[in-house]
Amino acid sequence: MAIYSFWIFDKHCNCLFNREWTLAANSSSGTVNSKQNEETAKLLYGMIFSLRSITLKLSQSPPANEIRSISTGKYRVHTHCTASGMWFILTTDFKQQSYGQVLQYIYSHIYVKYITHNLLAPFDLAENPSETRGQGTRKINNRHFIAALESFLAPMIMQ
Amino acid sequence: MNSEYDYLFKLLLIGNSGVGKSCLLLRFSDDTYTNDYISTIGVDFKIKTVELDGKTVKLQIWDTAGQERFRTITSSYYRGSHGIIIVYDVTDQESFNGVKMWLQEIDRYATSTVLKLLVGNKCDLEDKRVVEYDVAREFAEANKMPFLETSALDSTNVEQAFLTMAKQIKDSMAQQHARDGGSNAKDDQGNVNLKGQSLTNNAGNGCC
Amino acid sequence: MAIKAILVINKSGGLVYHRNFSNEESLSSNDYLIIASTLHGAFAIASQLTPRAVQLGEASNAVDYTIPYIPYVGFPRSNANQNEKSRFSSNNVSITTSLGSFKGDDYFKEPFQSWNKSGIRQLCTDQFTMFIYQTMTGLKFIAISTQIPANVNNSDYPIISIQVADNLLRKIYCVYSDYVMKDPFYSMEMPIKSELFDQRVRQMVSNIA
Repeated sequence: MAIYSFWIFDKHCNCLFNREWTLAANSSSGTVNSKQNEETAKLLYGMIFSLRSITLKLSQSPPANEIRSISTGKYRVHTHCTASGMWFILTTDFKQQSYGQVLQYIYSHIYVKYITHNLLAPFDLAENPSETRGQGTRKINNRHFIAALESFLAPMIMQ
Repeated sequence: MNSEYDYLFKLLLIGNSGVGKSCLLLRFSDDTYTNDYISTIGVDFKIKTVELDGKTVKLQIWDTAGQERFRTITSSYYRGSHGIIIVYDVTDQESFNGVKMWLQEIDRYATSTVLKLLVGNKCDLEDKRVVEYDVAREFAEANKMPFLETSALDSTNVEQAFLTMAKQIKDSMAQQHARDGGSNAKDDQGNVNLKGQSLTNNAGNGCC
Repeated sequence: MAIKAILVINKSGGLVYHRNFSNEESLSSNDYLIIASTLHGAFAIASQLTPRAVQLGEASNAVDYTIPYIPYVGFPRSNANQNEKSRFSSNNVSITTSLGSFKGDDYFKEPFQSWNKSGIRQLCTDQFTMFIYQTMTGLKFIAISTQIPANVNNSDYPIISIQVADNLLRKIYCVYSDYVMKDPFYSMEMPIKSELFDQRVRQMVSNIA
């Protein structure tokens, strides 16, 4: 079991936060909000977006058919979509079936606590229309959020 | 089983970004589709159903994005395409210069027998034209591909070109079939014996 | 794990075969063509997204892509037991003919390599799970099944389901090689019209359910 990276996207296809662990089983390695990950973020978003459109097309009944995970021979992508249109994404090794609860926890106990309940945080990081088509560059830099996320995920990375 | 169509042809639309590739085929496809894919996976699809010699043919047009981040992925879209349409903007010299680069991509990723077509877009903007018709036509002739100019206002000639291309693809496919079948059953008027009895007049012919 | 649909996508991303097994209303053929080609695109992107930690660690801990052989996937359940017994005595003619294998009572009996190393192999959603098997030549066989129950405690379950699906889809690939590739009227990369292929696929899937 290993965790490779964590991403947050907003409803405008902007990547708000990314954290990548580049050394396996080392929770202090890697990058936070790395510029090099811009293109990767767009491709990741694109892959999930297009697969999501497939699953929505193939779904039968009204409760929207959301993607839980996408697996390749090398890694697995877990997704969690919130009602506000945000995506929380975790890439792990391909064996692990479900990180849905982990992502749910990150959203409801870490993101909501440090970002949504923070009066100083902007309601929407895309402040003008030109930033609403995946062109936004603003990131979540709240140190409490990052610290809480790190301490929550660290034990899972160490394993 | 998908018995609705007999043939599926893959046509690829390439060219620099901003030359108006997507606008060329707005009225051509069966339905209008949302154009969300192109910015996410680097390709968008348009489908046109046509009848050729009593066969139902689906023309699936792969409209690719010119952006850099899709460069490695678009190469995988070239695979197995039957026809490739290169588009440039007659008001943009840079996009015409890019055609050479696109031809190299085709040589690298597509099969050598793929049909090509050069299209100069936005020819209604006559006062802003920088690429002359004759220059482009000469270039197209030198590279042995048909050439035409068009505009979003009237793109019927592009649609015509697409249909011609579909016809050519189908004909070349029929020819190939005739060739393959012909070598095995030369004296059999093209009939293949499905019962597996030995054919006296071409028993020594073919691989088995 | 009931199969809802089987799709075959050729190496250039075109849908050449599609069969729905559920009675739910289906989409138009154009929709399915777009779904297939979109999958082809997403598949290509997935291989670009391999995490850096995996890329860096690849040399040291190479992943084993061997898929174990799972006996009699897609065979009639009652016959499987009977077949188990008769394996040692003589060839079971009825099964051989009912599945149309030219290689005895099963299409293959050895573990095999998965060629699908960096592309998508499984897509889990709230309503269904999709499995993709890719051949060496780039042909993709896709099975859409009902979703994997979330309450299964066995942590190996997702891996096993991939292996079962790979076994089934590889068998369909064998059927494809027998009935489509050997059809003198079939033109490469074009829609599959073979009644026999369709029959065999339906038979196999009905045996799974």
